[in-house]
Amino acid sequence: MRTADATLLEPQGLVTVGDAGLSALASPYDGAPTADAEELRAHERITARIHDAAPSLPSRFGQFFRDEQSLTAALRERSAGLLDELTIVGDRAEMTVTLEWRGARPRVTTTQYATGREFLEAKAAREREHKDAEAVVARLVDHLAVDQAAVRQTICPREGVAAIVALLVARDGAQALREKIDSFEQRSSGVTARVYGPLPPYSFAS
Amino acid sequence: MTDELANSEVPLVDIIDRLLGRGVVLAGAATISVAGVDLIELRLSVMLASVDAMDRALAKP
Repeated sequence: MRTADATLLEPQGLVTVGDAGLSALASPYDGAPTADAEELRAHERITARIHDAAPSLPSRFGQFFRDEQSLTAALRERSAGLLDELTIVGDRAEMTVTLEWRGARPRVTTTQYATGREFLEAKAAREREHKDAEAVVARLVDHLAVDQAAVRQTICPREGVAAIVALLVARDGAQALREKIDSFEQRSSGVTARVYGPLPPYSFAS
Repeated sequence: MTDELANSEVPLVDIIDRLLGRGVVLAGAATISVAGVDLIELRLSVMLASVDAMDRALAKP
């Protein structure tokens, strides 16, 4: 969020480690927790709360530091690049669109083929799906008229899903984006669109 | 179109994709325990923000 709009962020059990203009907020754990739904959703809730309070870059789940010194050292090593990323992301948020095929499109996942023909047919089907998914994403991006630098896409991430598209948008532009995606879905006979967000910019933090 | 505003409504498969495949990586290695087997050891989950912004946020009553 914009600096002037920053709201209260209660530490709520988080520890803060700072170095070279960056600060890391970390949750201490006693032993390794299980990476179950509860832990993942807790991580996402914490990340969202912090990003709601201030511009931030979310971390990947599961990073381990033995103590604050090791975290500080890691932070120092990457501070220049991360500060640049923070500047680029600013107070924008991520909207994620999951594009699912409307019709059944079973994916051949086996690596065992009885004949060479089966192998070639499966390969051709995968390539067709990939190409079709890329075309859908291109149409979506064109329809939304967004800057390519604010788009990240994952093509055919799993069966039934053509693509997952992440968009970096101003928070006050989220509703307008939803309406545009709604319009795109109504025009598209090939895919449905599920929209999530605003979210912390996971896809724009490296 | 289906709108999902609350994070709790996001399917777990999408959360896994986002949390385990994206975001800032500071540590070269991680270990998480899945179903009792230590695959990745997790002690800290990390969020990065500018010190300036965090100081302001944390200082507010």
